[in-house]
Amino acid sequence: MPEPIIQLRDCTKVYHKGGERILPLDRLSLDIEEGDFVALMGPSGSGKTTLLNLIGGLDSPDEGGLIVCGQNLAELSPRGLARWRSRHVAYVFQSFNLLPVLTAFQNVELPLTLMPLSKAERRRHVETALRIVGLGARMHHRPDELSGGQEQRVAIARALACDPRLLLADEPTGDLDAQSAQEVMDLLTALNREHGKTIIVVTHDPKVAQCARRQLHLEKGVLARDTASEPARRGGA
Amino acid sequence: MAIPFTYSYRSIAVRKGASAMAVFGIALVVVVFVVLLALAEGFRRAVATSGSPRNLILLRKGADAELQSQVRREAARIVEDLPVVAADAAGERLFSLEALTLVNLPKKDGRGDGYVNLRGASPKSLDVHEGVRLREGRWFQWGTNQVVVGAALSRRIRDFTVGGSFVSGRHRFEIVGIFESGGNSFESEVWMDATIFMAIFNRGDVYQSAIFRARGDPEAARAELNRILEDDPRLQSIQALNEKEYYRKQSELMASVITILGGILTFIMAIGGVVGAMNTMYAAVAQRRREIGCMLSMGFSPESLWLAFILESLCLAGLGAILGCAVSLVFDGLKTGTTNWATFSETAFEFTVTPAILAGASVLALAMGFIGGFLPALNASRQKVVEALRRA
Ligand SMILES: Nc1ncnc2c1ncn2[C@@H]1O[C@H](COP(=O)(O)OP(=O)(O)OP(=O)(O)O)[C@@H](O)[C@H]1O
Ligand SMILES: [Mg+2]
Repeated sequence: MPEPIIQLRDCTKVYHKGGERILPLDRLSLDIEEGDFVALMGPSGSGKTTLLNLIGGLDSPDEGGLIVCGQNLAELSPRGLARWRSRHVAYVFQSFNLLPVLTAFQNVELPLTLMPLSKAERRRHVETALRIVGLGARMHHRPDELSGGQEQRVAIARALACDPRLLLADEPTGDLDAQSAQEVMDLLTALNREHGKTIIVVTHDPKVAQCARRQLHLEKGVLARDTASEPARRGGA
Repeated sequence: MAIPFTYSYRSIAVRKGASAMAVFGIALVVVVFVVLLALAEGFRRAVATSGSPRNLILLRKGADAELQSQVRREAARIVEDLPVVAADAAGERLFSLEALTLVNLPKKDGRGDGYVNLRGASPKSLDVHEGVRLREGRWFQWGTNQVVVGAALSRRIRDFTVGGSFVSGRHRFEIVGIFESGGNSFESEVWMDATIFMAIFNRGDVYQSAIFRARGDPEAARAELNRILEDDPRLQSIQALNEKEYYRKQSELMASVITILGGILTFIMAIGGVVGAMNTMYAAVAQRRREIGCMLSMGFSPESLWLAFILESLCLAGLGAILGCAVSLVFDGLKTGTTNWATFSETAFEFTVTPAILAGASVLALAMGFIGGFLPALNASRQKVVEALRRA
């Protein structure tokens, strides 16, 4: 049995807001296996984004610890953490967060400039990533020349370009119409099944959550429910 | 690894209005800077190129300018016969006793009067002052009240044309010619016969200066002559200077006044330019918080974000420099004039934009971009990734 790709132990995150103590995460422990596809659900303010930020190494817990991709994140300096992120994790955001002044190609190429790659190798990675998301023909368009669904697919290509083990998506379909949302989820499903990516998707949409193999429900910073959607879970493996 | 430069320069176009304001602000400072330095440079060239390095000028000891100087005819005659004075082919000494006064004349543009140097010249004046050439009309006749006027004055003083005349005191002077001298400050003078000048202005035998061609090395001649002047009790009140050096000093006061005032004005305006750039860049950082968060999440370092925003600010400044330099080139060669504070006379000159001035202006613009962009870029690099991503 291989070691889980994510191991959270008693992670607590505390915020103080006007004398009030907020616990977005309250002694949360959680294991996620490599190659899993997890939907993270829960009411607004239940700590989903906070949890994702911990896993992605963007934020650190106030108490407890976590090991992601075999690395204890507490051991890394900010600079080391940045380097670790660029190698192992990639984000997809609700609002796409593409750089509007760069073309689709340049947006996807951006994280690759952090890697020791030649220009030709970068080009190959970018083209592959854009082909996977079905936008090979739109490489030289700027974000404002693309539809929302296409923008999000470019963002996914950007996340894929560095070939991360872990893909973290915070409400990736939140700004999309039903049709585009379905396309994006189909794409994530394929990435999970065909490319073996471990994916965590935060969502409010039960239909989106159905695409995942495992559903986690957060409530007030604690895990309220942990279910597996049977057909999907066994189907791909 | 740095964020691609494409990001920095293309981002300028995102906030076109704000970027344009910053660019104009910097361009304005560049224009002011270039124009003022071009003014100082033009003035310096007009005055500093007036003298010949081969000539020496005799002045009263302690006099900074010809107008304050007094040289008696007897004293000058003694010097004229010394071996330090060169002679022409006919064996005549290249030595010119000259007198100078200011006359007040109405300006052509109607904006008041200007003081003009009226010079009494000797028969050898034209040989001693190299490069002085007739442009129009003829030279004045010796023994008359005819005058020739410098080309620059003919542009600036009313009725300064061949056939015209002007009045000073009880005397009318007839303009018979216009001369030029390569754009230097002689072109801002009126020349006439020194003998008539001395009689009209009751100068007795006190002239202002004597200018002569030095025999051999001018520097050695000057040193030798000054030793002679020092030792001869009749000559102790006068000194010899290199004519070129004399005019260079004349130009210094005014040029440094323009440069210093220009420096202060440029500095004050530059603060405005910096504030403009800073505003634009702060707005850019605020507007692109999410982009910043996103790049930090990818693993770009705070330093590379700082660099990206500094480069963006430098691009704004670069555009400002190009625009400002282009606009200020319009002034290049423009003719103008001012009162030379060292001689109190009107001196005409051309705005002279040199490559060095343009380079200086560009450095100034980039410095403004750097200073204005520094804090906003620091702000960008210090964003907390989680905060930056959270903000709507
Ligand atoms: N920087 C902060 N300072 C104070 N409180 C914060 C901060 N960041 C998050 N919180 C609080 O932590 C709690 C959890 O936030 P989080 O963003 O993780 O919720 P979420 O489940 O992602 O919600 P949503 O579905 O609305 O995105 C919220 O109550 C939020 O207000
Ligand atoms: Mg959230």
